[in-house]
Amino acid sequence: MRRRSLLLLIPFLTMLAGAVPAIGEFERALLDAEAVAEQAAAVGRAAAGMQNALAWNVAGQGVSCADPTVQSLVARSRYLGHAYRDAAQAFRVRAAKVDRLRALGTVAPLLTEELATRAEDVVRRAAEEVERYRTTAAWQAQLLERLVGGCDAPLTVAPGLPLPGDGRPVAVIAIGDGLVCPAGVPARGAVVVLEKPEACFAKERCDCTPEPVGLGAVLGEGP
Amino acid sequence: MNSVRRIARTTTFGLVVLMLGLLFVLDRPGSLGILPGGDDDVPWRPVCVHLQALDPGEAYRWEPEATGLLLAMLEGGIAMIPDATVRVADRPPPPGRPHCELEVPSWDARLETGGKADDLLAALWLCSPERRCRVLEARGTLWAAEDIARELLRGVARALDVDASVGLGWTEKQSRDPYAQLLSGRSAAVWYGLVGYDAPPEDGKARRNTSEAPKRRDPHLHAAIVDPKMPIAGWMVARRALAAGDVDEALSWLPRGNRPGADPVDLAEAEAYKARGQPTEAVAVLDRVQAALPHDRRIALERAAARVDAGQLEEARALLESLPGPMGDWPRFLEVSVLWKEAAGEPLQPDGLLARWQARAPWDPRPVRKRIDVYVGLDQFEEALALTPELAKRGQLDTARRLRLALAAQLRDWATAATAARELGDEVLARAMLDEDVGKDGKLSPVEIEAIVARARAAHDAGRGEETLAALDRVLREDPWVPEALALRAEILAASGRDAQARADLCRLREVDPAHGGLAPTGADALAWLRRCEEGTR
Repeated sequence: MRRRSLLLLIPFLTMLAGAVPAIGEFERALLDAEAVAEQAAAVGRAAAGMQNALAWNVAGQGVSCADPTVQSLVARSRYLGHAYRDAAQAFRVRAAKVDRLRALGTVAPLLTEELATRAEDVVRRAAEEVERYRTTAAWQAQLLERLVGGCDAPLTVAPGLPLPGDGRPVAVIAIGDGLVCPAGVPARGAVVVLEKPEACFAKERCDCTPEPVGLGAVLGEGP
Repeated sequence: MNSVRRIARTTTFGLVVLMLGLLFVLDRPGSLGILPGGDDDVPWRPVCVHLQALDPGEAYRWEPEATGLLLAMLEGGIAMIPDATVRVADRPPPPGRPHCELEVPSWDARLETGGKADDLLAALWLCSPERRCRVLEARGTLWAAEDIARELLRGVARALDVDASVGLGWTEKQSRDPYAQLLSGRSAAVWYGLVGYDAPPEDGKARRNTSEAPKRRDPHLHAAIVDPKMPIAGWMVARRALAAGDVDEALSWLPRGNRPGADPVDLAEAEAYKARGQPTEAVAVLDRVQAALPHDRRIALERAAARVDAGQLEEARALLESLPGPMGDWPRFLEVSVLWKEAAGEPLQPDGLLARWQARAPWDPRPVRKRIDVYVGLDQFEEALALTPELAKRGQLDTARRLRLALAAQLRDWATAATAARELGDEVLARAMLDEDVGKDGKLSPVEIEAIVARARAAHDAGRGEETLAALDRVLREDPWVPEALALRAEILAASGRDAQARADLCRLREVDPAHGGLAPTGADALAWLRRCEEGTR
C-alpha cells in the first residue's frame, strides 16, 4: 500500500524519443517556462501585496494578534511566501533549462528571432523573479516576522485585496475539501492562479457562480 | 447511393482545386497587386557589361594608376547608364547596382593602356553577346584621364545603343592637383586588384590626422585625405567600408558637394543609409537620383525597396507595379516582393515566390535560407533538410552544416546529425548522439547529461530501467540537482521496491523543482511532502 501511494506520486515525464534535445524539445521547454513564469509572477504579486497590507495594518498601532484582520494577513503572508519560493524556484529551473537548450548545436541554428527573443525574455524574467523572491523573503524575515512572529494565525476564508486593475492573473488560496471553479482545481490548500479575477468554491461539482475575487483571497467553505 | 458518392467526389474535387488555386494565387505577387507592367514609352533593354583590365606592368610610369583610374571611371559611368549593369572581375558590384541578372545580354569589355603618362593610349576591346568585337581607342594624358574615359564611354554607349549622357558626369576631373589624381588612380588600382599593398590598419578603420604610417599603408585613405572632394577616392574608401559592414565609416568618407546630376556616390550613400536602418534618408537620396534619371527602372526598384523598409507599403507597391513586365522575374524584384510580403504580414509559402527567387538567383543563399525557415515554421523538417546542400553550394557551407545538424536531430536521424557535428568539430555532441564513449573525457557536459537521461528514460519505458541506474548515478554524482534524472531514478527505484531511496530522490526533486511533473506545488500537499521528506532524512 505504501509503495503504491509512492508510485502514484511519482511524476511521469513525457517520453523523449531522441538522445539529444532538438528544436521541438526547446519549444516545449520554452512554453513550459513561460506558463510557470506567469504563475510565479502572480504568486509574487499576491505575497508582496499581503506584506504591504500587513505592514500598513501594524504600522504605528502596535501588533494585536487577536485582531482577526491581522491574523488573516499574517497567515496569508506566510502561506504565500512559501508558495512564492516554490513558484520562483520552479520558474528558475525551467529558465535554466531553456538557457541550456538554446545554446545546443541541435537547437541554436533553428532559433528564429521570435524564439530567441522569447528565450532571452524568460531567462531575464527568471533572474528578476528570483531577485524579487529574495526581497520578499527578506521583508518577511527581517521586518514582518519581528513584529508578528508571536502570532499564531490560522488560515481562514477571507476576501482578497483590491486589484490594481491591470488585467494580470491573480493568485488566490483555496482551503478545505472542494474545488476552485470554474477551472475545477482541487482546493486542499492550493495556491491557484486565475486568468480572470473571478472564481467560486464548490464542494464536489462546479455548479457555483463565479464572483469577483481580490488579490490573495482565501476561498473555501466559509461563514 | 451512387449519386451521393458522385456528389461527394465532385465536391471534394472542387474543394481540392479551390485550395490549390488559393495557394497559387496567395503566393504570387500579383495577388498583392504587385505585378510589374508599366507602360513607359522608353524601351527597356537591360544589358550587362563585364569589364576587366589587362594586368598592368611597368611598360610606362604610373601604368597601374592610369589603368585603375580609367577602370573606375568606366565602371561608374556604365553603372549610371539606365538598364546597364556592370561587373569588374570578382569585385563587389557598385553599391546600389545589384548583380547582373540572368538572361540579360552580356557584353565583355577589356581595357588596355599603353604609351606613357604624358601620351596615353587607351584601347577598350568590346565584344557583343554574339561575340562581335570592336576596339575603341582614345588618346590623352594621365593628368587628363577624364577625357579618355569620356571618349571610351561614348563609344560604349554607341555600341550598346543607349544614352550615355548621365554617365559622363562621373568622368569629370577628379582633382586639379595632379598628385591627388594620381593617388585616386592608385586607390582604384588597389581596389581592382591591379596592384597589391600593405595590409590596412588592424582595426580596419581609416584614420584622419594620425601618424603617417596608416596613410602610407592605405592607398584608399591616402587618396581621400589628399583631396576629400575626389568622388572616386571617397567612393573607394566607402566601398571598402560597406564591404566590411562598417556603414558609419562609409558614410563619413563619401564626398559631399554639389556635383551635378546623379552618380555612383549617391547610390552608395543610399545603400549606406539603408544598411544603417535609415530608410527615410535612403528614400530621399534615391528620389533625388530618380529625378536626374527619370527612366532608370532599377532606381525605381531601389526606391520601392527603401519604401518597404520605411513602411511605405502602398507607395512601394505602386513603384513595383510601374516597372516593365519582364522585371517580374528579376531576383531583386522577387526579393523586394518577398520583403514587401513580410512587411505586410503576408504568409510566405516555401514553393511560391521564394522558390522563384531561389531559381532566378543561383548565387544568392538568402532565398534558400528563407525557404528553410519557412519549412521549419511549417514543421516540414525533411523538406528543410533537403535544402541544406543548396545552401552549401551558395557559399554557406558552415551554416548549411549547422542547419543539417539541427534538422537531422529534430528528425531523429542521429547518423546524419553526428556527421554534421563532426564536420563542425563538435566531437562531444557527435558522441552523445551516437552513444559512443559518453563522458570519457572526464566531467559530463550538459549535452551528455541530456543524452544519458533521455536514453535512460527510453530504456525504462522499454522495461530495462535497472540497467540505466549506473548511468543515472553518475549524472547525479556530478550534478545532484538534475530534475529529470532525479525523477527517473526515483521512478526506477520505487518500481523495484527501494522506497527509501526513491523518497530521498523525490524529496530532492521537490526542492529543486517543486512543480515537476505534477508534484503538488503548493498548499497542504506540499507541507505534507516536506514533513515526509524531513521524516525520511531523520
